[in-house]
Amino acid sequence: MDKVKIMLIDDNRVFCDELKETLSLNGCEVFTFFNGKEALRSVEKVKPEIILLDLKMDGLSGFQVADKLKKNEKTKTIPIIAISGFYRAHETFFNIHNIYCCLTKPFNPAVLIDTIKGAIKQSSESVD
Amino acid sequence: MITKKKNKGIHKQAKLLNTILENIPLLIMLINEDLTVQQINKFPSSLLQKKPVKVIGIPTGEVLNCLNALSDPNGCGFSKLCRKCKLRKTILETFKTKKDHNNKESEFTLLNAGKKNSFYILFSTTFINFLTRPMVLLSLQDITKRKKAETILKQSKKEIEDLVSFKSKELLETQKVLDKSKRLSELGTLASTVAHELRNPLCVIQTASYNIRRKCRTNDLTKHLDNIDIKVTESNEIIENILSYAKIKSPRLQVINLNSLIEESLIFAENRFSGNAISITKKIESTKDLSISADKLQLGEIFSNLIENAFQATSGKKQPKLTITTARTNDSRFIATFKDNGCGIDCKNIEQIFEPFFSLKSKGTGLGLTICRELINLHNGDISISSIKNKGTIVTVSLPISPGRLS
Repeated sequence: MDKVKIMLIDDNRVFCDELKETLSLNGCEVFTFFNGKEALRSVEKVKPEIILLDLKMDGLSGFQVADKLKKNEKTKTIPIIAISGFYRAHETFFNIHNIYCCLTKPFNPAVLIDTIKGAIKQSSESVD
Repeated sequence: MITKKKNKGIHKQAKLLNTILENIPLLIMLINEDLTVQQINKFPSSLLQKKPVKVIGIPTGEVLNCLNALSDPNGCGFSKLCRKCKLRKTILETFKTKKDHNNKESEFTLLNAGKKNSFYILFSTTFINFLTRPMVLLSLQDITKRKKAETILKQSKKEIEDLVSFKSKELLETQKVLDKSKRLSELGTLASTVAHELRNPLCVIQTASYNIRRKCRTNDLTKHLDNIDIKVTESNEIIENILSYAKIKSPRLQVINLNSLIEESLIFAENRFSGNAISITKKIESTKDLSISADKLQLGEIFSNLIENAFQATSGKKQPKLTITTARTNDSRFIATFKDNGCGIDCKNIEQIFEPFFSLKSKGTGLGLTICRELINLHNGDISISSIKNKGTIVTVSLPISPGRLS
């Protein structure tokens, strides 16, 4: 992947550290945020190509963050990949709040990389 | 003049007493010392079959048509049983002690309208001197109806007590079941919370393992990292199981082909247990085109669970075998049997096999079959297991082709 800019929003700091490493190892540029409010404040500046979003967070939940991103003209087209420990999250939260897809924790990082690639491909196709 | 007036007064008193005597709702007799009747009132009584005028001079037992008195040729007082007669004893006692006896009860067998009948009599005795002769005034009342009613009431009381005690026991049992399901439900909530919370650290472990693998490409480490990945996957399966038990929902019905669902579940299990040398026989031709209304995900979970159980039970066997047979019954049910030649289940454990958190496997959560049974129940179906230790197990699933109203 060519230096994909990714915004990672999750309140679990250790997970963010590890996942940032994983994504960096796969050639991504990662911006981590530990809560939704900060992420929303910076999203226009960071201009990520993909947003990785935890659904259950203190303060603003992942759903609220996704909702706000979709209402903002400048951010509404950014694909969101949701990450959740909810039971069968991948089946339940598919197609909610325009979420591209949802991965249930724990997931194989290789699957996440493939998912990111797929999301970027779809996003560039829709721009074309 | 005074004497005449007195006489008139006495006459009036006697007339009053006579009116009372004749109208009092009791049978009243004046008894001589030889226990014959001296005088009797005329108030109609169920105890008296003869006309009152005809009983004067006759022994009391014969007046009442007492069966004992009638059965002995010598009459009242001569039968063996007369010695035990409570009425007789009381009258004799009254003559002897001159003391009254009130409200005594006794049971008699009397010949009434040509039939033997049991009577309960309430009686009182009073000693009097009449015309200078000692006599006993005997008053009798037939209380048979009251006694019978009392017996019925006693019986009903006993029946009601029995019923109450039975229902109390039933209530207690229900309470126990409720307590148990409450405990299980609380346990389920706790388990699902814990399971949910465990997914975050598991995810970190898996990601960290991936990162180490990427950074240090040495064979030494690979083996350990593989172990970490396997254990993360296993832990996650346990979590999935617990969450799936805690979140069993009503089925979402759709028309599904059972044979293809069984095939899919088989492929899924074979992938998971690759390298397993089990030989699988399918006898499912007869239901090839059979579709039923059911929840595809839930039925898939049931079949996968049962097939995986068979895979696990037969691992380590020389010639592991699994036979899947399907059939359609006359009463519109689909039957699937899963027969393996695995380790089997001890008969002492077979009762508990569907209990939540009961497992005979070293790695089981003890929820697999519980979930299966819950899901099958939701489809108005049945599941049964028969097994012989070290020989194998047969699991039979029966599902209605059209489930009707779901439970």
